[in-house]
Amino acid sequence: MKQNTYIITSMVLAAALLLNACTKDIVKNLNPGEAGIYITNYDSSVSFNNFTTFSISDSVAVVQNGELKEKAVTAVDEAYVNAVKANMQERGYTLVNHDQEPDLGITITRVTNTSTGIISYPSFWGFYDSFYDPFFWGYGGYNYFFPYSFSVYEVREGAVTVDMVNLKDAAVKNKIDGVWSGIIRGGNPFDRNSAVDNVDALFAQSPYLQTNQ
Amino acid sequence: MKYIPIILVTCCILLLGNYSRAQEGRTSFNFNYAVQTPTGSFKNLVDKTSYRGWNASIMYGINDKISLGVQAGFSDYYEKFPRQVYNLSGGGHISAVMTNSIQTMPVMVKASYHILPEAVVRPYVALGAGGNIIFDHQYLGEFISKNTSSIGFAAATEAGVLIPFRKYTTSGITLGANYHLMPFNKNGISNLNNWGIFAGISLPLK
Repeated sequence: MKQNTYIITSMVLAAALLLNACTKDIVKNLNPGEAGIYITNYDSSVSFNNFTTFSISDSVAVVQNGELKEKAVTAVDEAYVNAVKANMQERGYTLVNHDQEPDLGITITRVTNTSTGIISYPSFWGFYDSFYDPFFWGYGGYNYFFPYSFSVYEVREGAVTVDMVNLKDAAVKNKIDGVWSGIIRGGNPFDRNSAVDNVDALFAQSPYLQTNQ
Repeated sequence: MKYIPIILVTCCILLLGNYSRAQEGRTSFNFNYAVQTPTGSFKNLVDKTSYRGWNASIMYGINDKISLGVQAGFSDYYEKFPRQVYNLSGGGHISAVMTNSIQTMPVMVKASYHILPEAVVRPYVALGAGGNIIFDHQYLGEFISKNTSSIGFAAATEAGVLIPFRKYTTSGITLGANYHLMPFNKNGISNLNNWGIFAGISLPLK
């Protein structure tokens, strides 16, 4: 009988351990390419086919813990910029220089946080002016405004954001409206080889990004 | 050859007499490995069979036919869905591999009826009712998007057999099948009902 007590005690302990051990680890069971998520949002009142030209900043803003650290052009940054250019051109938009009065301005930001930080449009992009000075687009003194809002997303490791602003109507509205944003999170967003797939994914779920041209 | 079944049945009947007073006044502990399969609207959340489960019970023999006790169990349900674009409130979209993970831990009062308490193979049926601790997780990619826990009701029906190791004992191997009724009622899912099979051992406590 004493032996049975030992066996039963062992089984109860084993059962307690099994509570954890039996639970399948979700993150460990993700294959490469499954960990990442792609989030897009846009101003649904805007007709994207009214725009014909776009410009994109060749450098990428590096934001750490909510502060702009630098503007960088690494191989990864270049891969992202080129991927966005390619997708926009595929959708019929014409690439022009930023001083050629583009209809749309596009910027890319690398976000890294050492502790858990939060991306929440538009509060996060309340700092947008410090990332991308409106002077860059030729609209110095104007403020950026993002009419849509993402839910709150916590960022620990990193994220890449692609933002599109309406420059065509900036002079009329006296502000630069954000019209489309995409966030790449998880997996390895700073991997050069994944840049094209990541950007393609953002555009794939944004079929409304299309010009009449 | 045609007499073989008759001989086997006769042998079994003779053996029955040697397994008397198997349950009465005895307490036994039973531990089983369990495999559970979602049914009903639970399948909309997770459609895959759980191979990560167990149940354990302590039962007291009121008499040779009826025993009462408590049972606790655990099952981990998991399903990963291929990458898909989902709509976000506010007009946005998210593309993600979605994973649903549900853990159920029913803790029930249980009553068993032993149909042939003195047989070599002792069949029984059981009913149980009690509470159910539920952990409900949803991941989008590597990010958790839902993490809730709740307590609900659980009821179970069970049928199985005890194959005792030797005469006059409640220790042996258990085999059986069960059906769990588990109301849930969240996010369009009305229940976490499931059926399953189990195998384990039974040991006497006193």
